[in-house]
Amino acid sequence: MTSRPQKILFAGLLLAVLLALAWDLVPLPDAQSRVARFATDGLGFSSREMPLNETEKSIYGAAQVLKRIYRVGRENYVVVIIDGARNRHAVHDPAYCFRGAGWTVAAERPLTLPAGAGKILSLHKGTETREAVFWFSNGCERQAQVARCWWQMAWRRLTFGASSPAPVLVLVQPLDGDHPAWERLPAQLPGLFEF
Amino acid sequence: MKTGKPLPLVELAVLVFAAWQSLDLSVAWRHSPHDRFGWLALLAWLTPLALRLTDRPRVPLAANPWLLGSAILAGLLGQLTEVHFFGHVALVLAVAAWVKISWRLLPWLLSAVAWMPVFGWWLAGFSGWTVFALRVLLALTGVFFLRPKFKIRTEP
Repeated sequence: MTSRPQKILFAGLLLAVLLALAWDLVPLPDAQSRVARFATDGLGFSSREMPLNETEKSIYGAAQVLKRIYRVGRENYVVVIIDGARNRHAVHDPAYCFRGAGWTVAAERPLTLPAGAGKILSLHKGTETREAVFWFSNGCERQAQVARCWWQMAWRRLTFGASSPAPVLVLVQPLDGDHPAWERLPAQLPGLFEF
Repeated sequence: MKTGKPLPLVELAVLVFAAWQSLDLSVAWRHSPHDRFGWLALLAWLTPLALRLTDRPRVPLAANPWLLGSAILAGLLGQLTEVHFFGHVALVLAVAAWVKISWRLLPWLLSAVAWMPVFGWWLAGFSGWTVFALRVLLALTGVFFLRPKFKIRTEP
């Protein structure tokens, strides 16, 4: 290491490595206190926990994931809530995952929700059809733009969480492959919109 | 490898740092159907550089400090924001730093997206195998532009 550019590079590299290591030591505030508000049972609904399978565990890693089946009247919903404060990459684009699992996204349409909007995915694989709805929530607003969520999370990481509360991904699917009236979801499961 | 001078350790350390920031690639290539075999696109993309290194004249290697500095910044940004794409950009810059700047470099640099997971995300509407074919095609196109007359950077 003799030349001036080499010395500057070395100093920059050392600083970058130290910063990179130090950044990982600062945990981000998570959304668990908000997600805990989502009741397991209440007036007109009940639920049971669903354990994650091995693939899901490896994909989600350190992220905190809630997976429950909610029974509302005669309908059963699988609800997955992913808090990516400990593993940002677990908060993903559900459409990408469905495609990876062999589903084709035939159509996407918005779903009006309290304080924002979600997105309904119409999926098919062979003769099988299915629908799912998802949104990202930071407790104040709901939206379904993946890139926007990623940039919010990146900015949040950069500011140690000061820029906004932790966003979570909420994914809801009917258990039996029905096509439910999604517009009724806020009335059926109001707890989904309290975090 | 007889160079007559010691290897440029600082420059190589930057390359290692950039590779560290791109470790997620192995996870994507193993688990994501749209990124499967992306490593083949990386190999294709690196081929001209590897071939040139094996038949280069025995003179000391040198790297562009500006590109290496940019690689450090991109890698750090990727780490601080947890956006893997910046780490991949860091790797591209850290590798490109060893090639002499010329107009041939630009299409080759751009074609690096062929081995990145962001490529699979953009083309998620296509099947995994179609995305793989497009990855290899794009990487080879970049190689086609770079291959004929590019030069490895050496000390003056």
